[in-house]
Amino acid sequence: MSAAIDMKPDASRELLRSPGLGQFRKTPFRLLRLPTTATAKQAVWQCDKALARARVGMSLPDPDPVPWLPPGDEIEIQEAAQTMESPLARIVEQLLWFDVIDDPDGGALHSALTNADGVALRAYVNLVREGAPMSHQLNQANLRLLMGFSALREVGPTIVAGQTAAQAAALAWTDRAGMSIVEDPHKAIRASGALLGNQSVWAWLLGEGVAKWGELLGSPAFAEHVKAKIAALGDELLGADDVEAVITALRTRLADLVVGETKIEMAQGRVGNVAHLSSLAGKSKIDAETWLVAFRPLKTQFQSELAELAPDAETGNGLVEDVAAYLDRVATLAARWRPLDEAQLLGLSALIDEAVGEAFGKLRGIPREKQLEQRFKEVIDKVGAVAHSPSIKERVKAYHERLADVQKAMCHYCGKRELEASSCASVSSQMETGREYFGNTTRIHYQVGARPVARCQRCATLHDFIRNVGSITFYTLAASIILFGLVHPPGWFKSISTGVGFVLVAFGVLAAYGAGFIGREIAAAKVTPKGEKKFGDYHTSTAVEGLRADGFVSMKYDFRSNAWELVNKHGVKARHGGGDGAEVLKTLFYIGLFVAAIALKVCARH
Amino acid sequence: MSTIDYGIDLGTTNSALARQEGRQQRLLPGLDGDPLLPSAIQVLASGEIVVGSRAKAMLDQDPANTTIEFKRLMGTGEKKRFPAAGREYTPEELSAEILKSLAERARAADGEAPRAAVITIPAMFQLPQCDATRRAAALAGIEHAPLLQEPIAAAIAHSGTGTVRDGSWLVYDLGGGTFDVSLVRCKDGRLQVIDHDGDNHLGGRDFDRVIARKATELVRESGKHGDFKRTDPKNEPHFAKIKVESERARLALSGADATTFSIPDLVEFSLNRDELEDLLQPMIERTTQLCVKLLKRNRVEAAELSGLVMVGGPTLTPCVAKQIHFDVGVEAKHYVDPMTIVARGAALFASTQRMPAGMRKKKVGAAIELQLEYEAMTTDPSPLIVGKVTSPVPPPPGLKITVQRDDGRFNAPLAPVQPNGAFAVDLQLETSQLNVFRVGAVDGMGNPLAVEPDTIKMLHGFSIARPPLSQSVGIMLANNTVHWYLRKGAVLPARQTMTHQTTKSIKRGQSGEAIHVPLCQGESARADRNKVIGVLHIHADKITRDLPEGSTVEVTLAVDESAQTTGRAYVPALDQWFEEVVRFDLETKPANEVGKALADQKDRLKKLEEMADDLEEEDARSVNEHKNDARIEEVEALLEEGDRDSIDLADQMVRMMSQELDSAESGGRKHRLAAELEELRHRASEVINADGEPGDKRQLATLLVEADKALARGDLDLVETKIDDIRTLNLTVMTRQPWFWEGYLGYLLKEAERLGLLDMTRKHFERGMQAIQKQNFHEVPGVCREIVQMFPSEERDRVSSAIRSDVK
Ligand SMILES: Nc1ncnc2c1ncn2[C@@H]1O[C@H](COP(=O)(O)OP(=O)(O)OP(=O)(O)O)[C@@H](O)[C@H]1O
Ligand SMILES: [Mg+2]
Repeated sequence: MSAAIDMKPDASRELLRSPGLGQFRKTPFRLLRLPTTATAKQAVWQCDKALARARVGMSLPDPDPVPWLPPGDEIEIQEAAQTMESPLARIVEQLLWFDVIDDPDGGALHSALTNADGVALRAYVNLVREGAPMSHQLNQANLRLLMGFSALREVGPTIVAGQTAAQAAALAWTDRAGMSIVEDPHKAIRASGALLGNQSVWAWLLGEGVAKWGELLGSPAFAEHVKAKIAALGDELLGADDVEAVITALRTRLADLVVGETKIEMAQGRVGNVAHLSSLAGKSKIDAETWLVAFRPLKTQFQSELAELAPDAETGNGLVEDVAAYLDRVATLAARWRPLDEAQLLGLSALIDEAVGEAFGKLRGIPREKQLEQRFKEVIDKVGAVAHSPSIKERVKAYHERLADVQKAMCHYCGKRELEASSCASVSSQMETGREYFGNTTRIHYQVGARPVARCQRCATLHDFIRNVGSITFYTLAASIILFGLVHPPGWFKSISTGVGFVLVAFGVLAAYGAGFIGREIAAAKVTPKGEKKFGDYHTSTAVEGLRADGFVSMKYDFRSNAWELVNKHGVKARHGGGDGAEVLKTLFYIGLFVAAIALKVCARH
Repeated sequence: MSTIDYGIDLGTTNSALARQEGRQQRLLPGLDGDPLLPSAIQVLASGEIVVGSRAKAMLDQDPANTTIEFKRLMGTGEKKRFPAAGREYTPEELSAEILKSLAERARAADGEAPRAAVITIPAMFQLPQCDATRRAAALAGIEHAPLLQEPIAAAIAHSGTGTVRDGSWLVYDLGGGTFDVSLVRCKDGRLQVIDHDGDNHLGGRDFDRVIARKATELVRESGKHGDFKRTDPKNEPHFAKIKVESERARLALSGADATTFSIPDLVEFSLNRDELEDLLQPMIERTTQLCVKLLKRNRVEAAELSGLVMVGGPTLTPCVAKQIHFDVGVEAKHYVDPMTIVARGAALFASTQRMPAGMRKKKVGAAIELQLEYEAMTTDPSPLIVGKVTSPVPPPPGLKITVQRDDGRFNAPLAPVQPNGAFAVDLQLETSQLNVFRVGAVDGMGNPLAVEPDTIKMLHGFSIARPPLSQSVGIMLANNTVHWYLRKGAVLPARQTMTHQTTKSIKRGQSGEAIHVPLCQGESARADRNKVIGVLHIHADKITRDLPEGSTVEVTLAVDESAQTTGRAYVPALDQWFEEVVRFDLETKPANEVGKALADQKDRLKKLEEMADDLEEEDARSVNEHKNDARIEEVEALLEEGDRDSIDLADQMVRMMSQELDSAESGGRKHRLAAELEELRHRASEVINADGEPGDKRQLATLLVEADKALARGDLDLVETKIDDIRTLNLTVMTRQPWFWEGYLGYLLKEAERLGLLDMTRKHFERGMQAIQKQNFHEVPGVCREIVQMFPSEERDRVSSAIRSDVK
């Protein structure tokens, strides 16, 4: 025979694909109409008969216990027989089917099922039996699963019918963790005699079914029950030591059923149902590990949704803005996802964190000077806000701290580049700490303090330039005034005596000094980029703060390009006394010029 | 004749044909009276094809135009050339010649060549090999050829011929080229193959190979024939002779204690049984290991077994049974002739397979034609037979069907035919024997009518469960994982439908563009470790509308009892079906690739050994097994030999080793991650508590809490992420420390020295050292980066990834 693939119409394919319904549709006990006590041999014989009948278009004479589900095809019938021949698989199927023999209400259940009698099924669901045998408890759980999956796929008898969704909402629904739950549907239904809307019905039934199963799987009484069933089967391939294997298989199967339905709902975009399903998983007593493994394949779908958020191309708004926009999108998605994964079984928060982590990585790659901008800090904060895990929030916090440290290590003037030790300016100060008197001489003790004003090389160069503008203005003006005083046309300034002339020239030099100063300020104003501190603005520096904190009052500021190096090399004193060689030479040169000029003038007189 | 009844064992070395007659099988002998037909073919200059023992005898005289063991090439694109006739044959054409020769035996005996026969294949045959076998059958005029796995055939013959043997058994089939072991159980006459394992490249020919290797070495040592390379065409006849003589010597040692390996003018040495056993021991051990593994996997103790059935020629080697008993702890016996048991089982199975409707011989002139449905072999004492009147339609009103057992002791009540032509009859069988029933019909007036078919045969007391799938089938996903559709052991026929999303978009009519859905077979979670057996295409020029990325595709895979696999995709958005599957030949890898793969495996093994302490006991043991793995040496020897077949074998072995390592690696994942986390906890705490800033310490603390939580919940993916995060944090803190860069610079210096880059990088190193001396640590990372940039690009990744390992 061939294993040809049926091409069924769309709607029934969805029904056939439903793993939850498939459990009850394809179970050998239904397809082969077997009692739960059937032997493998009986199953094989029954299979031969079912196949022979199926091939000429006849079905088995016994009634279908779940008549609202599609019948099995040849392959499914064969698979069913084979399942019965493999003892472990068979026990699992058996426990997920209705044991109408040992359950005192089994007869009622059987006829309710074969007649698809919603009212009778509801009556069974509402039965409350104290100390009911395990088979009754299992039947209750299984019936809830069957009816829940049926309601989800909108097939089968409505066991709670005739109520609009609006009325249903009036029941004892509470909103817990973003999901609506009926606190005690039994009470609610009985009290109002009322019935629920479809969505609430399946969520309620499945929720209870899975919860009941979860409880059973953990109970010693159930383990005993499994043991008894294994013994009854009497297959040498399955023994009492396989109880755990059966329970594990059941646990995995239940998880797979729920996850399988979740996958369908997700593919159909029915997000609300996805949330319901994952949350009922979370509420069951089945361990997280089982669910995590079962839900794992779904993760890829979410992953691809997340991947779509990543920008394809740069927008031209700059990386920071791109990342900010990305984070906003991720935040929106995270908000949408949150109710889907309250129980954290889908691992969605880890996915979000991963995306956020990547964004964070991008941000860290941005050049330092950009990182110190306010906007950057805001975006970094966004990372912390969108992230789920405390460790990422910690990471953001730690990053802020480091940024603050870095800021301290940044150039005081521009605030954009890191300081460079060889380019720092310096402030220094002295403070009297005591005096000693030795007869006529007094020895005064000073404490000297100096600190670098953090500066980058560019600012140092800039400041050097500004200083040069000042000094060149001064020297050229001063030199020209002196020269002019000495060498002017003989007819000029006749009335002014030489002494007065000298005084005037001195004033001129003084004015040149002022001009130099003004020139410096003008240059500083012109060349210092907007938003940066000017060369003279050292009062707000950490260096001054530090010296003040140490008790120093008057500050001496040196903004030569290598001021701090000089301090380091020569000490604070040396700086005040000396200056570097070039400076001295320059000064000497101008003095020399001055002297030469006077000499010239005097010579000219005579 | 309503059932197939013919069974063919198409073996690597020997083939055979058997026919089921009642409860017995009859082996059909050739003209020489031997039921075995050596799978050897010689093509004469005239183009005449010589098959069987006559061809085999020519192997050492005319090696160029004689070929054997072509079964091993089935499914590959490789062709065999016969220079004398100047013709080329594919492996399936050669197999077809064997099948024709067997069919001729049936024609001679029964007057008619079979149009249908069950043909056996090794259990580990993959889809392309099965397809090739089917093609061979078609070429030989066998129109309907269900395939049956050899071990199942052997098990069927073991349990179903003569007395039915209840209990659990191991069927150990060591053939000319393949080894299969199956765990079967027979209960109340019902035969079930519970599980099986095997090695596609282990058999008598590999036994010959070790002897041949010894002979070759001696020839080389003698120096008379230069380096005596196998790949040298002038040595080809020598090697053919060595091969033939190796087998002869080995067979001789199955009976005698010593023999002389002798090829005149080439080599001569004496070989005794002990020496042979030493040579074979590692190979036999590989088979017994598989047996033990199989038992363990199914939680069956050797003591619970009813026995072990040996099948195949090489099991006639005396030491095989001894070693099985020693290693597996169960007595190994031949219950049925080991050379023909597979053909017998195939015939028995064939008697349960009904002829396809169109191929049945029809009696002309019957008034009523029936389609009858029943199982030809059953353990059910009261089975049902169901039928339908296929002609005339609709059936005459009042038609009733009669069934009588031909011993006259049972008459079924008249079965009325429903208006749609269907009817059902309950039968009673005489237990444990062949039951023959006469089928008839009576019209409304009670007049008997002739029907076709008018007899059915049912064998009571024995039946065979459907064969299990020998290797998992699935589709390869974009991320190199596999989505399994049908797992190994699934019952055939089987079918599965699953939904996927496309990862790329295709535009309607875009020529050459397609969505590829590769089908693969194997057991590894990593797609590339499995064999791709075909690709299902959704072609852009077939779609009715553009198909965006993320579209839903429903893929259905189905495998029938003969391992025939069909794939089909349905795209709901288009409401279209796609069925075009491009089949692949089995890939054959060049030697250097296999060598590379082997080197990779050795690396992994080394890493795993280092980790062995952290692994769970069981995985650690499997790692240790690999350490002493004689297979590594074997693969190297095979690569050395260098012929196509040896390389294929080497490839197969390497694949198997990687798969085993995969499972060792992933087996103790939880345990491994826990150990890794613990180790990292100490290391990172030490570094971060000493050198970290308060923020780092807080981060470490939260990360550790998160990792512990994830571990407790069993969310291993998350644990892995957290471990990575902790590592990164640790590294970040370290890179802020002077000692780290000092160490790293030292490491780079060593590497530069090793690579001879010292001159080029000297300036940089000096700068780095000076920076460290002056404690200008912030300069060092830049220097290191510059140095790494000067390394050749293939080294760059390695040395910069050394940042990951801890230099302290
Ligand atoms: N008496 C013997 N002692 C040892 N080995 C033997 C003996 N007789 C045959 N063989 C070996 O058995 C092998 C053939 O066995 P067999 O016919 O069972 O294999 P096959 O069915 O052709 O191969 P496969 O099952 O792998 O396709 C040959 O390698 C041959 O050397
Ligand atoms: Mg064989």
